[in-house]
Amino acid sequence: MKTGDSILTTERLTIWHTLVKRQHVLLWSGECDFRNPAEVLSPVLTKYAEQVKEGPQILDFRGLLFMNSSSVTPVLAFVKSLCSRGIAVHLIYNSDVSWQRITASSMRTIATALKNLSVSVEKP
Amino acid sequence: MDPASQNKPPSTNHLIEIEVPIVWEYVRRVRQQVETALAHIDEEQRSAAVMVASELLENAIKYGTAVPSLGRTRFTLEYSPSQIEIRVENGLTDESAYRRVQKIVDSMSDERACEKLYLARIQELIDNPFQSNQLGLYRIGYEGKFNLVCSYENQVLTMTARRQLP
Repeated sequence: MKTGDSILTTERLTIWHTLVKRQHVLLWSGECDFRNPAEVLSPVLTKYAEQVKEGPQILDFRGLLFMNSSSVTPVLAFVKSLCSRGIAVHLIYNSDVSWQRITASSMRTIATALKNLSVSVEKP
Repeated sequence: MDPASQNKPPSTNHLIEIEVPIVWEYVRRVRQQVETALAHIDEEQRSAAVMVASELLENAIKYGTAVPSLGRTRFTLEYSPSQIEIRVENGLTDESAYRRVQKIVDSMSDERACEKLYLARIQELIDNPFQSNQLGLYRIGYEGKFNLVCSYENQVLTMTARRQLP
């Protein structure tokens, strides 16, 4: 996989892959509000996951303006698929946005059940 | 409009009432309208209201249908300094679907219950991601801190979410 590639580009949402200090980062930007998010997200995330050989994999959600609850399922499935293969996954949320702070708190709670998952809240 | 009053928060109820076609793209439009209408309030409260509006409207458009007494989805936002109220009405011909919604709403007795239900649902989705999501109502209670009630009359489901403001 090349770095600096968009793995998903839609009118409202872009997921950008890049390499930072030898860490793979998926930058989410825009609004994730699909009617059937699994139809859009699952194919690209599954394809990406198949190519992942090692961690850590960082999912940076700080550029997300909105995410509907329906989108949580394909994201969780993606995170689980990596974690269950022993690949470390780190989620980054935006400390300036209230819904992102709350989501981070929820993800921290479930991180206890998913080995290899960590969560942080950071400035954009 | 008096320029001096443009940035002044309204002291009385501020009302948005929109008849929304049962078309997915309108969810985003309404979200933007709520964001604009509540631009003068605290970011956390506004963000919560936007999320609640979006989740309720998504459900209405996904599962609602035109019925003789209501051909579209009706969205209402009311604001006063002490409360935000969001109401979404949609046609629903399957009364058993209403009973399922009512059961979920009844289980969301307080914020603590909503948190437990929300986290339990996320855990269920981790364990089995190939099931329907059903996270939105719990998110409204837990993340949005809104109190939710529902009613059903003349084949119209009404979901009302309220949050008291400090």
